[in-house]
Amino acid sequence: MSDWSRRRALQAVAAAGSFVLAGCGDTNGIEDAPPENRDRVTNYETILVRNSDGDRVFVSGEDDPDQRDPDADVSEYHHLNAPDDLDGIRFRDATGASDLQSFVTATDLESKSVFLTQQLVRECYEPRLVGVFRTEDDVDADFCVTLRPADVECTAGTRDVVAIAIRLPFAGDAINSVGSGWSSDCGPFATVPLTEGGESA
Amino acid sequence: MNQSRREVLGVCGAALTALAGCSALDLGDDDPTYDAGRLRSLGEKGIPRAPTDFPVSVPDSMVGRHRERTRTLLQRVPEQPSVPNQAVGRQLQEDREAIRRRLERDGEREDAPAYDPLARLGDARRLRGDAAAVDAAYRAATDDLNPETVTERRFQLRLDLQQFERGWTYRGDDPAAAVVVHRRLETLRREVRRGLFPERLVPAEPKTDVFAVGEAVRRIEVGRAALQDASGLRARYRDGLSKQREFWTAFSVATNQLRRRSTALRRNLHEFIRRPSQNPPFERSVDGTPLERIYRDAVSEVFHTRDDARRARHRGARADAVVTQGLTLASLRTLDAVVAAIEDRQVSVPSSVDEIAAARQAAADALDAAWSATPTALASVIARPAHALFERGVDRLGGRDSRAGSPSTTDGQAAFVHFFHAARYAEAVPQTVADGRAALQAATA
Repeated sequence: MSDWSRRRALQAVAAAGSFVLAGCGDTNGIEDAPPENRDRVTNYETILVRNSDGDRVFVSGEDDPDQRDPDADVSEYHHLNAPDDLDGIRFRDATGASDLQSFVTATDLESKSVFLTQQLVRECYEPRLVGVFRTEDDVDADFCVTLRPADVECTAGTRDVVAIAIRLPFAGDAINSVGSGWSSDCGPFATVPLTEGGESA
Repeated sequence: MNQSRREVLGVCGAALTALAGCSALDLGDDDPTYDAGRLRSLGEKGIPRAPTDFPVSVPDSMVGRHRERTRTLLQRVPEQPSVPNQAVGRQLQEDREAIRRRLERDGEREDAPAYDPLARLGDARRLRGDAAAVDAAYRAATDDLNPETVTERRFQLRLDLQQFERGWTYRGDDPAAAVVVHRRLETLRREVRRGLFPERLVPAEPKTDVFAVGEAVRRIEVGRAALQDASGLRARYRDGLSKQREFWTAFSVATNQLRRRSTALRRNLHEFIRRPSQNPPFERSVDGTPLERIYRDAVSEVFHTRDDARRARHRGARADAVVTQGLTLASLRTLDAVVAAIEDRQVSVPSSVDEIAAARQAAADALDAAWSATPTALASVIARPAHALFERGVDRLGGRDSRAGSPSTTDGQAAFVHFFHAARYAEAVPQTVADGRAALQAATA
């Protein structure tokens, strides 16, 4: 037997929120359904570093690498496809920053490219990769955040800076648009764990 | 649908619109506005209470069993769980507290006359499931849960369900009552089956995702509770039977009979059963008006009930197949009435709150009449969509939410749509119940 009103209500909800990440991102919310011509990228490598003192792992542009501003918005993302692109990125003296820098600089940007992002993530949570998607001239990396294991010592109100680099299996010459979405809940969907220190997918 | 009547009306619409008889009901260009206070008062007039005519009584002990189990599970979780991951600990604490409050609140509702016994039983099952989830999550967080025990509990539930299903021949005495009772048992069986199929696997290391563990255990616990309720209700039903007949085959025969009636009606309404992408097939323009909404809602219900009936047949849910086929027939009759009302210009955009109030009253009266049809247990389930439409109308006016803002003109028109639809649906119930009763009698003769 079907519960008439509840089922109709659920259908309405499903229709309104058919894209898993819509409307719930911490930043750069993913509002639109993915275009049909978007391909899922595979064969990439990732590295994640987590800095628990709240400082950025890297800075870009005119930002002062030594400036410490606990209220600053650390979120940013870049697609690096030429050695020159690295000139604008300065890695700080922070936990894991050298590992991240080594990962990025070791990438052959003739045949590959790097998606680099940085976000504030609550200490008791960890980011996961929903997927990397591309069209002919666009690349997007979508993330979600989920609770860390119960036995990880952490404080509920504290935030860490998390930096993630994804080594993509294609050169980035044709890419002229880049995007990133963060959801505050991974839900029941398949995601790729991002263990600290890096792994391949 | 009376084809000749539609043809006559088509002529009226095409050629005689200048005459007062037709043009008087034309939709005006100026949208009416309604007094928000009066709309709000209308919403607060309440909702007619559906009869609780389930043929089997639900003893307090069945609810009490779930509540006792809920308390036991809750007591196993400390009020302030100590877990290294503070966010996990806080979530457990909040979940536990929410369940404790609901347990208290449901206890206070026990004597409320509007608390349907089966709804009360369902609420108790869900609360028990929630308590099992928080208990399992806590045990997973504290290394006190072995994933294999979850698998074993699921396996045992499967065995017990098989035992329950063995020899299920749809026994009863009165076939209409038997349809209602066995349909409820089928619903409970579906709840049990959900417990057999976890949405997510329990992780090999439970503490890595304690709430996934809780979710898996919740489904098993609710499944276990549903199986207890199904067994209890079936035993009570059988104990109360003066004689026992098997309706296994009869229900299928009755379903087919109702299906033939639906097919004939659907054929007559063929041109009106259109997908949302298609324009309404009326000569009179109803685009963007509440009339278009009434029409589209009625068509949508036809599609939904047809899908429900098909799924019930494919699931082998013989009692649900009878009822959903009856609902299909009722939805087709409703569409027939809606089409006639639009074409006959018996319905137009309400020009005042009084017209919305009249639609509400008509729906309430039609519901009363529907619930008076016999057998009442069958009438109650066939009338359920009409009641739900009425509730939606009241909700649109903020009738059940004291925090809702003032209803707008759009809300008033939406409520009108639901009330009008509810009335047409409820009016279709007595004939549909009579058809259902006749089909069951013929099948069991």
